[in-house]
Amino acid sequence: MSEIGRLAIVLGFVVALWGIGASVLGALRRDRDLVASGSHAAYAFSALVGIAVAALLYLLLTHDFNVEYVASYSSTTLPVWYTISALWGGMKGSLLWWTFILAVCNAIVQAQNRAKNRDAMPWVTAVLLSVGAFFLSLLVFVTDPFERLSFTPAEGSDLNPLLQNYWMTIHPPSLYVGFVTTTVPFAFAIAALATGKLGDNWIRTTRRWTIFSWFFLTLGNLFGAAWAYVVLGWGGYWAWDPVENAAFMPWLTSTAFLHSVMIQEKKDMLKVWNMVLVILTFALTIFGTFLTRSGVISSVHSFTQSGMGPFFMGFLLFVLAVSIGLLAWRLPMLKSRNELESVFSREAAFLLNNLVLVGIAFTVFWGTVFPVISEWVRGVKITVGPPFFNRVNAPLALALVLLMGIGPVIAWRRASWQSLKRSFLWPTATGLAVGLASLLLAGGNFYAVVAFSLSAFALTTVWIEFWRGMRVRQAMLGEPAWTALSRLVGKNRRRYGGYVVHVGTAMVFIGIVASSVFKLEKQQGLEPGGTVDIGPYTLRYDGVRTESDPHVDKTLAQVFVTRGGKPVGTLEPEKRFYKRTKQPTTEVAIWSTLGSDLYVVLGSYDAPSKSAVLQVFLNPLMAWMWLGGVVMALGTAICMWPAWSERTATVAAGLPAGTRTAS
Amino acid sequence: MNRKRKFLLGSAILVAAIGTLVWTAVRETSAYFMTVDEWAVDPGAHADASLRLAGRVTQGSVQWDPKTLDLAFVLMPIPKGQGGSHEGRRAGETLPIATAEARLPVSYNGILPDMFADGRDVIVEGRVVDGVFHAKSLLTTCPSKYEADKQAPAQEAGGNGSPA
Repeated sequence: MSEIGRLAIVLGFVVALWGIGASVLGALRRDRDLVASGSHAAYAFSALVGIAVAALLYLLLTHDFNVEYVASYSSTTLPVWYTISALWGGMKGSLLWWTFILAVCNAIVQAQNRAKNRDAMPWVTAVLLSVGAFFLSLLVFVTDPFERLSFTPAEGSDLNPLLQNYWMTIHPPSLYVGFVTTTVPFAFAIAALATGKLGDNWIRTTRRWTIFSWFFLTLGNLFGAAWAYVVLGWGGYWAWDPVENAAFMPWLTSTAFLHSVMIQEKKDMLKVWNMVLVILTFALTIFGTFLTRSGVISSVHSFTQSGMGPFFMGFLLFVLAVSIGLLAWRLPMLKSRNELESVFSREAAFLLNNLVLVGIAFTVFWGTVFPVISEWVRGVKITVGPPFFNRVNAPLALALVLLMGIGPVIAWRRASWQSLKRSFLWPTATGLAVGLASLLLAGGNFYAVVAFSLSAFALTTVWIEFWRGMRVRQAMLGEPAWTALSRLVGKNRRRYGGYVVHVGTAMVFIGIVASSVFKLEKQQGLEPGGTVDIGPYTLRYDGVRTESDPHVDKTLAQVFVTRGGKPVGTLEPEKRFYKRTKQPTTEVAIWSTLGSDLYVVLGSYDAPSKSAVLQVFLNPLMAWMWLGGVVMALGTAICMWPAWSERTATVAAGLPAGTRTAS
Repeated sequence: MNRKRKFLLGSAILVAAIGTLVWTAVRETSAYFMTVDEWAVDPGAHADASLRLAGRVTQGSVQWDPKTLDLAFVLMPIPKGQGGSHEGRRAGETLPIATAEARLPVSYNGILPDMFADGRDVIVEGRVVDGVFHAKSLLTTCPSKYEADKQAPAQEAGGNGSPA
């Protein structure tokens, strides 16, 4: 089976090269047969990479430990679900997985554009296959996932226990889908530059890909945060580690693009800027892969010094050189037809929002690469840690939330004083009231007060938008409230879906601010029967119980929790010992309510004396962050909805009348 | 044109503000990042500075009191060619004897990271006071998240495994 996999990636690489050549040549010579051949190559590429992934999955599931990858990342006692996730648990597998997602996207793009974008498609195919060929070349020439050992170990050395967590099974796939799908808008942007057809057709064609990509980048980041929260056991979820930053930066530029693209559609402005954002987003995904594979920058979860660094750096430089070259060549054709008219306009608000988002991306980039830069410039490695990122980004985030309230409702072109008053009187009043209330309740923390006040401002503008829209429909069409609301959203999915995303973002923001500013933390050594208080909770330590299976030993502390004298339940923070990797891990126990998370860590356990050290955190409003994430996902789904309903409509139209109602 | 200039000015102010934020934050939150042997070349040079030191926990030096959570151990240089990503770029270079034998006592209070043990590679953050490194944070770097214990199957057969 490893031979089949190996053959598939070698053939895949060859097919990709053929496809690139045929597409480019076909485009230049206007040769339809060559272009079609390139498109067929894209399908063949997808099939071959699919076969390679299936082969590796088969090897993992059949525990063929003669294959180095299988022996390194799985074992016979590893649960099936984690065995499947071992597919992307190691570097080689993750590269193959990446290529696979790209191949699937490529096939979908080919199918979607069978009869569309005839000029652009050969270039799109060539770009997508080039990126695919690059990833596959690493697997063919540098690091072979199907490599066999000269012997067969009796047992594999298992997946890293830190990765044996449900979030880790969905976090990497989501993030990879988010990363990889940025390639599609990039490919269309490059095709637009190559063909010189620079209207916003490429933007319309890739709009849903962009939202789709953003959806998965958002989820990927949140799943990663959730993983860190439940697995790493330090009470937080985000440490500004280079690996996290690598995932965060494309999200920022992608968010900026989603906004500025509206300006291009409505006002035909910011064309160059949008090109830059698309290129930057794609380049940052490659940069992120470079960061996590090269070991150039040390990370707490540093992956490996794999020798992959130079390849990714080379590819990144190639991508940037080609993109910037093409952009410079077409610059004269990208002139805007309109200009900004007033500072009090939606254009200006969106422009500011873009500057702030890209500004945040820049500061994150700068903080991440600072050790390397300082070593070049001054010969000493200087690092900046979380305090740097928090200090710089706190004011920028506040500005962003303010703009999030202003942007959606301020008028295009030029807002009159009347319209400003109409739009912002109530939001401003609510913001001030909430600010005052939190000043009285939460005390003098400047950031928290401003953050809550601005969030209230932004949420009120969204609320008013929904409310007014609904009232208008009720009054004019006589619809009942719920019908009016759902039709309002249904008829303007992109707009109201965007508002829902804003609500989610504000909730995440509130959760982040509250849980970092008002966090309580305690460490205490306890004998059985001993208690520790935190916030409204009292925790009593009642000793431990143990569980054991062939895969893992568990020591579960029995922590009885009461709140104001009333019993809440027993929490069981664990220490685990994974037998294959001989590695201890900590499993936290969390009691989550809307108000706060009680987060309990078994710091250490001393068997002879039965005493334990508990580390206890109280994270206020933590649940808001995760709920906010759900709301964001929901809003994005509303935005994406037309793609599906249109397709169902076309499918349904082709079916006999009887079957239509059934579906 | 005038209006355009106004917007450019506004954007420039915003960029300058972000630049200032970055500049001051770097100045006030940065820490020197070095290995124990690099530090040992001239310990006096970083007397008052925030430091992030990478090193290895000397075998047998760990003292931990689970009641008070006080931890003391001695940090030593990571032998070249064995370290993880924080080793620096001079992998082939041999250490001068003096710095290769550098030892730095570390004190820390808190819960031990899961991977902390004798002989592990760690990164400590803090300051040196009276010859003792007072760590406010302690990070273990398993050689890598993905490649940990890679050698296990290879060693059984005489180290014939593949390098990562």
